[in-house]
Amino acid sequence: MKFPLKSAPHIQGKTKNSNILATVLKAALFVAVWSIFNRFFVFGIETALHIVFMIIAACAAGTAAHVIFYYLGTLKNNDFNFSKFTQKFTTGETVVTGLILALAMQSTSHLYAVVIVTLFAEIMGKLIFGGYGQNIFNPIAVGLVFNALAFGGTTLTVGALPDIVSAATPLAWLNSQNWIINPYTANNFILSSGGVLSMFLGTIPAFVGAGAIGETSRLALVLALCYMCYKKAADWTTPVIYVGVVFIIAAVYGFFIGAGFWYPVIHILTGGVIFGAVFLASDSVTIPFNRQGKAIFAILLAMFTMLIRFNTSHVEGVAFSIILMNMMVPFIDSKTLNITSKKIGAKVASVAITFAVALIFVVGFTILFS
Amino acid sequence: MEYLSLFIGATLVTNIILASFLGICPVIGVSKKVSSALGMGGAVIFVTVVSSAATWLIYHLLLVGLGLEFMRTIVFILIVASLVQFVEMFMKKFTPALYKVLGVFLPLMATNCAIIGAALINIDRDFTFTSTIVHAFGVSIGFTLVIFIFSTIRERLETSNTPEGFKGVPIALVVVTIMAMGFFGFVGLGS
Amino acid sequence: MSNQVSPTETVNVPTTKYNYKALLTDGILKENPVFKYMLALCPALAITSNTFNSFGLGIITLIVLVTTNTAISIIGRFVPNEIRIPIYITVIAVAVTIMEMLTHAFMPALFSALGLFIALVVSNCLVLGRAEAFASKNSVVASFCDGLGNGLGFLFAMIVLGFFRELLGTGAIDFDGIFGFRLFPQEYAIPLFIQPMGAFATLGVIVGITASVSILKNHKKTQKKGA
Repeated sequence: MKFPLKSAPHIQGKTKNSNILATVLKAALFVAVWSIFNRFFVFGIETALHIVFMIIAACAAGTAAHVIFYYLGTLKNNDFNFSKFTQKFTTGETVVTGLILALAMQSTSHLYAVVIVTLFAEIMGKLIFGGYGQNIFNPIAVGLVFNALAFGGTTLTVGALPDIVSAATPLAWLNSQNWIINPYTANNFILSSGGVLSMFLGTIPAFVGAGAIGETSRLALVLALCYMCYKKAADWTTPVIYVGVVFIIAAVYGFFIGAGFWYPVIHILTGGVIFGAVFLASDSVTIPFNRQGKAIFAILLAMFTMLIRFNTSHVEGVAFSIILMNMMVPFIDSKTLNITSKKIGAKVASVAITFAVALIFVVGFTILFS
Repeated sequence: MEYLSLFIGATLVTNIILASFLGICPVIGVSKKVSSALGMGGAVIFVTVVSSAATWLIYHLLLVGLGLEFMRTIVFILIVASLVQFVEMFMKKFTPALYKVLGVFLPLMATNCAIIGAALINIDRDFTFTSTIVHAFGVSIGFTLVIFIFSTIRERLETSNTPEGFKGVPIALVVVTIMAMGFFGFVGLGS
Repeated sequence: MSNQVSPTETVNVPTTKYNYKALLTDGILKENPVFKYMLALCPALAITSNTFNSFGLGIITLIVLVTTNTAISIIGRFVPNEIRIPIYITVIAVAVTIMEMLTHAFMPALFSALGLFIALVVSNCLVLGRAEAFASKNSVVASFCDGLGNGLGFLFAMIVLGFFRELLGTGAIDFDGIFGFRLFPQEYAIPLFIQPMGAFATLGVIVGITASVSILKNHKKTQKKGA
């Protein structure tokens, strides 16, 4: 198997690592500020403040991890270089993971959980592999999965914040979140198609409490993605195809169970799909190198997301799918990088076949086992 | 239908390596190159299925009848060991390149906890003969899947600058950790 | 690991002089079979979810290792080369079955906790590896010491892993009620460490740290020599 012996991140274009980091950081900050203000207006100052503390805690934990690792790395040759050390802070490398991770967690998370999750994500997901660009797995996804596994059933939550919404009123929640924010929402469709009861048909997992902080406004996320693509810090292929295929799979399954147009729309709007698309699936380090690879990656990612969402009780289908697909990236790369650009037909065919297989598999499997 | 559930359970949900830890030695040892990983996987599929079938038959037809259930450990490991010996001779003659690549890990397959673990699980969980075959296939295909993916990741890791102390096995274990976490997403699938 | 000999390779040991002290003590820290040579990983990962189980299986493996090493060093010279592996495996299997029955009789709680992992000692690469690489070629006393040394190393590794996993996973150590302590409240514990993934992570980190420490030591040594 031949791999391109360039160092990660593998992006097409001449963007430098530091520029990518800066852009992603700005995009994440944009989403963070928007989410904080949004939640402040809807739920009050307590929630907003807690979110701010979570972000600060996560960034501090991330920075601490980086500092410790840098120090340990200098033990061998005693070459502790203070300017290099401060340079790490200016690139934003130390806070990016923490910030996005905090945004991906729920606002009821205890600060202790945030810190431990960030430490695990940074150390086991990035630093132990050698730092930025060397990791196989997306550290944010690693953190999220760790969070689900370690603190999933925990009693360690910050209790009576008004964010906790009971599963019985998802419509009210959607209303309060969506209508101020996302113009192209399915809100109208939901209202006109019978509301709450019809949303419990099929296999939508229960709307979990508050949802991810960063997911508060889909519009903000989409704007962030546009900015990142414009600045060439991310490629539009993976996010767009991912959301698109999720939509199609949900639509086909919705067709089978007789649900309306709102069904696939709900699926892309909940469960962290758009957040995952914008911040997790666009991370150039952990996704395939060329467009064909990215397309296949996105399709299979959607397949796993829907498979897990429909057939298991996991809510974090997106994070698990990212990890599963990150595993396959070296394999995908090795298969897609050897085809020369002349064989466009073969490339398109492979993507189309992947799409067909994924669609049939998920829908078939779910129907078989429901 | 339940066979499909059983198969999915054995391959993905309770993957023999990631969930039950059995068979981790060859995963860490043989997985540096994709070709050797696939070769090992193929051998494991063959040995697991045949030995699961053989051990089940011998246990239910012979040992139980003679009241010698406690002898199962000895009998099973001998069956597995002889099968491995047979595979070794076969490979030496017909696929010498692969034989060389797998090296010392081929006879060590006799100590592969996955193979004998699968055989013991078949008995412990009181499977029927068909269930045993399905389970054995599931286990060994799950094993091959993991070792294959793992080898592709390791080939990629060769070119990254992991901290020196972590190169090789420790980083491989971290990768396995994260893989196991990913596979945890399959819990509940197929039931 | 270029100049290290893995315990599964054959060792050319001079026939008369053995460093018994080295045989006994090297296996614990310097040449720990689990942390340095990655042997016997299956039990090291599966059983170490609490300290008591780790200790139990460690002791069982130690006893098996010592007995089989001694036995195989006695019969080693009489066994034809072609069938030596099945013979060794039989000896190991007999020892394991005996331990299985003894544990079942005298410590039933441990027996049900360890499940089929007592039986799986028969496929423990360390036991077969030591038998093949050392015991079959060396004197009885040396093989006994070698078995004891490696067994103690294995036991040490099991205890360390069990200790960390239980501590991080439950916040306390509970050695079957005999003794124990609580470090921090249960809510702050990370139950992940009791599960498989926690095992891989703990082992990976410990192995990485031991390797890093030894690299650092070697580096300092060569620096001193060069300076």
